[in-house]
Amino acid sequence: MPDATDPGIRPRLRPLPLPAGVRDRLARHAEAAWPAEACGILVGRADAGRDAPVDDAIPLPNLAGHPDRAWRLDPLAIAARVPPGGRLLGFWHSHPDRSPLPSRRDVALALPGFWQVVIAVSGGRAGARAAWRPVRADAPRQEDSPWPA
Amino acid sequence: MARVTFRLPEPLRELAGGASSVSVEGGSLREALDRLAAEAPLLAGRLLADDGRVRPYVHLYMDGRDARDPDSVPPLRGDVEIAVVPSIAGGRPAPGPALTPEERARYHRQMILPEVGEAGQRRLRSASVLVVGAGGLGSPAALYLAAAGVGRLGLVDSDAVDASNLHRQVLHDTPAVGRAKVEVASERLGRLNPSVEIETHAVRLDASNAMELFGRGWDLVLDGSDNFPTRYLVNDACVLLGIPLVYGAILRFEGQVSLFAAPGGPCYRCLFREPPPPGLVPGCAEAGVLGPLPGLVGSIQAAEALKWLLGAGRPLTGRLLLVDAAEMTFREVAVRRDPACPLCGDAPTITGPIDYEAFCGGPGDGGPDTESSAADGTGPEGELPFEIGVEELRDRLAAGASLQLVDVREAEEREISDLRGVAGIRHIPMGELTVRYGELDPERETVVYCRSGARSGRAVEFLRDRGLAGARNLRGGMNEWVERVDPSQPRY
Repeated sequence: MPDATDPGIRPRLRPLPLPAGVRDRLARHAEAAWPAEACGILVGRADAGRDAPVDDAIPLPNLAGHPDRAWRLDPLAIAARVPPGGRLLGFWHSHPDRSPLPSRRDVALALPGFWQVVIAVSGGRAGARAAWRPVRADAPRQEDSPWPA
Repeated sequence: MARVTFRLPEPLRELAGGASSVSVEGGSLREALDRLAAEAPLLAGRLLADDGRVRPYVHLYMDGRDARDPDSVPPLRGDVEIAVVPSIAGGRPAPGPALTPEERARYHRQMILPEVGEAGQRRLRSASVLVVGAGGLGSPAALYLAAAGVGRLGLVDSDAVDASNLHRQVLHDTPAVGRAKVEVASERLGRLNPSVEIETHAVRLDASNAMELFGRGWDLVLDGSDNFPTRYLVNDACVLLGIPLVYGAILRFEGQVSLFAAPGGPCYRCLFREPPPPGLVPGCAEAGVLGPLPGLVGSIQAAEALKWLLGAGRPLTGRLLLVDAAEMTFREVAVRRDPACPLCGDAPTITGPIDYEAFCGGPGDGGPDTESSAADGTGPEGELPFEIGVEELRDRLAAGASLQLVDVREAEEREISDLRGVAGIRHIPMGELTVRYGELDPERETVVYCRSGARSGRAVEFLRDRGLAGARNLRGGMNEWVERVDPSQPRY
């Protein structure tokens, strides 16, 4: 029976490279913010291009009016948090007590070309992740969809 | 005329060659944006939609004032700075007013689930689901969704209740025979849960009405249709409008369920690029169906719908669940979004509803008995020819050639005739090829056959599209083999 590891099935997809250390940091940031949504940025090396592996998940303040069900980053604060020689690869946020699938608003507001990683936190413990990267601004269509990340 | 400087935050600098700002000349913000589109098209494409409006996730600020509507900004003079601020945000809408004591009593047994709770129940109340088909799958699905308190349910079905429906379509009963299904369903669901708003559409869903109907603000569509034209139409409309789709299908003892068109996930066309040839997959009216099977599959669809609306559990995105009620087994197959999908791929060619009747079996599509137009026996230089003749196959098998042999016929056909005495033949019926082709070794020369060479011709086209360059069609199929190589077997 074919499965996800079968090379015959859609071999063109490339998953988001999220090393174990980054996954752990992401989980800790998300757990610390629970029951509110945590959010932040994903950074990699500038010289490795847009498909660079993620080297770090950095937390930023959640400025949303309802941090229990929404998240918002200050876009002007981002540049200061990308380390020298680093590159912004995408954004992450947590879903307290629900699945890591993006909400409609998560999709509608996602910046094309940047990874979005969502991590579920259930009862204060980090769980499943989902990652995706929108291709176009006006479409629900996405590229590279390793479920889960 | 003013010099307008657009200040860019980090996420957008890449589109301006790494610069933190871009300056253009212009007498108005609109003019400056037009100039920006000419000078930095990549950046402008991210900021502006095709109709020139500022995209929903972009904010423009001029001296701290909102300038999202460029046409409302007065003429510009001197040096002007525009801060470009993308929304880097997300979240969920507010869940509506508090539940009433009656609602708490009614939904108590599901609200005590931590995944539901008060917030989840309010989310269900503000949710809306369109159910396509009020038959075998739509019956249990609509009953469970209404019972669970989904606030708004839509039903589409143009049929009337027939006595032959009653062994499986549990929304309907004997006195309802002859009445419109959506009417009967609406009454039944209204009695079950009077607080659910039910919207009925006694129309046959087709390309002319689907977009309007699907565009009426549904959070989710549940497909309970029983034919391929409708199935493709439902899938296409959902992808085009960005509505997740809970897919279900049944035949005889077997069922399939998945969640398509979810963000990042595949669609039905990623799995089945094209419908099977007409006549190859019969409908319930010809093939029959065990009554509880649609109950089982429709209930799974309802569970997936509720999970999606609640954001609970692990959805069937990227997974096709295969239910076999004869063996009573459940297995799943991984399905990934296909970047080459004509609908949801990176370069889609389908941008609106098409003619689904023609797509699923109109003239030119070819049934099992027609000749495949691609089967002309030639191939581009350096490639193996598309076809192989029966004598050549016989000689190569006799010489011990290492060929991968694939029979795409149905099990019943294999009992009539086969490549007798040949070992290692793989049997993948045409209808399963799109999910099972990964079982084949793409590096080996592969000979595919059917009865006449028509179905296998399409199979070879499909396999070659997927990178199995060594796939070849047995010209004339088993009947030709019987005629020229092994006359001891019957033709059919």
